[in-house]
Amino acid sequence: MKKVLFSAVLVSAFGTAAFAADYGSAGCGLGSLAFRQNDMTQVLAATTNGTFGSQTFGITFGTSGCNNKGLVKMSMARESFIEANYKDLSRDAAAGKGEYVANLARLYGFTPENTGSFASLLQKNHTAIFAANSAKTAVNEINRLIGSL
Amino acid sequence: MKHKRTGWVKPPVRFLLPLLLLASPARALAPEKELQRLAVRRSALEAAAWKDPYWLRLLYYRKNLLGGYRSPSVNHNFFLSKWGKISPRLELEAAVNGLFYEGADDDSPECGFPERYRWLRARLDIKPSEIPFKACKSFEEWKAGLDTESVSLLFAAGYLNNPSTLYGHTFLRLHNRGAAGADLLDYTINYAAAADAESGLFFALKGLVGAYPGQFSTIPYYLKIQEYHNIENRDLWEFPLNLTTEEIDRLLRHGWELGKAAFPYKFFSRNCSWQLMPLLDIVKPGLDLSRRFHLWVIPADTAKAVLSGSPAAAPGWRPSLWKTVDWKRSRLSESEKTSVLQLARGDQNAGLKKMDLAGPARKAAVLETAVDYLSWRFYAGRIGKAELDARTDPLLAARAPLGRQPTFTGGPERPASILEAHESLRLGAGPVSLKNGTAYEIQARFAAQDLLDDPAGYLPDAVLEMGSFRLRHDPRYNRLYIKEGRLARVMSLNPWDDWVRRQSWEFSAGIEQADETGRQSGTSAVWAMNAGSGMALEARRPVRQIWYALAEADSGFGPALRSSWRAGAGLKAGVLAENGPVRALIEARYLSYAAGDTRPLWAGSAAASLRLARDSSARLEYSWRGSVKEAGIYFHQFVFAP
Repeated sequence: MKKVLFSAVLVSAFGTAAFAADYGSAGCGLGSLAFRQNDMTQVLAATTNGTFGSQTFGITFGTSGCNNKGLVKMSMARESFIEANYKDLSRDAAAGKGEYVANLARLYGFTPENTGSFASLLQKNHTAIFAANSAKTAVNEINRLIGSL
Repeated sequence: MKHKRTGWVKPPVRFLLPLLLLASPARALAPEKELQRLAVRRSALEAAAWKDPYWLRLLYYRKNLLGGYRSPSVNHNFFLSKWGKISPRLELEAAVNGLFYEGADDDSPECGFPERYRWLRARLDIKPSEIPFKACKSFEEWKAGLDTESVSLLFAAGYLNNPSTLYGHTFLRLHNRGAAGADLLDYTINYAAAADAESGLFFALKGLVGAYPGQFSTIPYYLKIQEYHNIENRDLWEFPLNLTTEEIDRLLRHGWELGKAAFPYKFFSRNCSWQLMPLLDIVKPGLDLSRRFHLWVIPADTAKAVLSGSPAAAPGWRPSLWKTVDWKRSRLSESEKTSVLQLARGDQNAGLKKMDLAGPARKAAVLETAVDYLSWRFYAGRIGKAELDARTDPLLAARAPLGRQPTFTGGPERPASILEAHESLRLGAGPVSLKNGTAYEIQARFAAQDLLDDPAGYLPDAVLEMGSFRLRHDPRYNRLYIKEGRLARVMSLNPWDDWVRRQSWEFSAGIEQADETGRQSGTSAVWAMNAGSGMALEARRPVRQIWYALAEADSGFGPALRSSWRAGAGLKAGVLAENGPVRALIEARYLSYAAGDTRPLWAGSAAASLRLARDSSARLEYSWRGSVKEAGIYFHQFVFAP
């Protein structure tokens, strides 16, 4: 505890330390988002693999889900979004509304006008999509439901 | 070895060498191209283009004491010339040579540094008919992917229970054109340190001297929301920057260049917030922000500085996860609140059965609140991922079949933004009545708030003090001394809430006068460090009060103490009350020392402050320490840190 407190104090004295958060390559590629605990030691350990010398802008990314310019690959946009926002999306889907559902709807090509039908689809099939707590299952299940529309 | 290295060229090739050298740069250009290159080079020299302030700005050159230039980028890909780091002139010459790059367009210097070349072409009046534009496929794709319609400055508020983020964080958000409500899919431009796994002292020292490289990245906005709203539980403020199309283009062109740069990240002075200043100076040259910040850069200050140069617009606000939970809780009846606790922390099956009696709308509201509360518990480290899943899934499975229900409308009440907050540096002065007469005091505190300062725009019920000095002159002995020289003091009072169950805590380190030793005033300076932990309670009638009690550990070092040191423990208790512009604080502590100087310390204070204006206040303070009592009245003025 002492060490934690000491570290906390030191860091607190150094104000505005912003660290590349340790989501590593989150948002780019499935299976890459490790949830992080939010206690002090974890925050202090919040680090990223140094990615030096990268030629392009979005250097925090670099895995398969990202293109070489640091943006999420179009083909991976849905997967990345579902994985990074799994809990929020699952909650909004159960409520049948909310910004996470609206954003995913746009990624699936729905307009603001027909987002409601997408929201209902997720709400009706909530268990099938989300009960496995796996982004991969959720993606496949939503793709299947959209395909069968 | 006998033969010299210069002898490697075979005789038949030797006579070609002078020709090759003439035809520099390395690759031979056709004669007319070479003539063109020499002409451009000459006009660049004649115009002394390398001295142009915009060129110096684009490469972040700083003049050093000897009159030389130096760019802070530690990534050499940011320069075209191998001398680019220290020579703006050679870097400009390399840029001129780059105009004649003959490889694939996309790999050309012009495509790597679009803003430098836009400026260079304009500065030297180079027409596309003379030197055609390169087709920059990668850059154009990237730019099209971002498809930026507008830009805003995002400010993640400070959060005391997360030490790396006490003061907040700033970054830019690029609003995608035609997002049609899908604005989570925007990208951000974020500057952060790439720290290693080091922790504690070493980590802090490395951060101080700039051993960590800082880099820009484009992180999806939804990841920043996960980071701040969920994981770190902070409010996110959004201030529109109202950039013109031309300014946005400049931001993107230069942003592309910054992908090749890395700057030393320094916690105090060259941090996340500072590095946005030269970037915005390039985007909006009139702002000239980077000159306004020197030794000490606080994100809230940079946000204010940026916004002072933009037309006023209403900021957006995204409350933290806890504020959202707290607001939903406030919309529930007492029995519904009990249900939420049962679903989230108690016997969930029994809770779900009981819920069947409620109507679908109320049931949905309780379930949604319980799910959010469980998320908060997970991010706050109260439960693990397994329990989060195990408890959340049945709730969502019960919620979904209820269909669409009117559960919650609106949102938490928006607090004052940083634009309404006092400036961070506080200066103060006033007379102090001591036993032997009146002394005079001047005060300076670099940042940012104590319990008696108006917390609008800052954190409520918190102390966040860095570099607080009180200098006193006592005419009776004609003595000037440091009443207080505090390095840091942080205090977080968290009124007890059964849903949160968070302790209150405090830490402080610095020089103070140990008057209880009975020495002449001003001669008992000790270095004191203490930390405490305890509980706080909130009462709302007749005015809002926070009562608190902390168990404290204290240590002191200094010749004023017997055996020059002491270590001990004790209790501190106090009450803070606030009503409109008046805030009052009564606090007392008793410490008993087990080692070193074992005389106990009994000290306390009663103080009140009156807010006069956003940036000024008056404070009355009575305090005692041992048998020494004093009373002072001070005027405080908050100013923008120079």
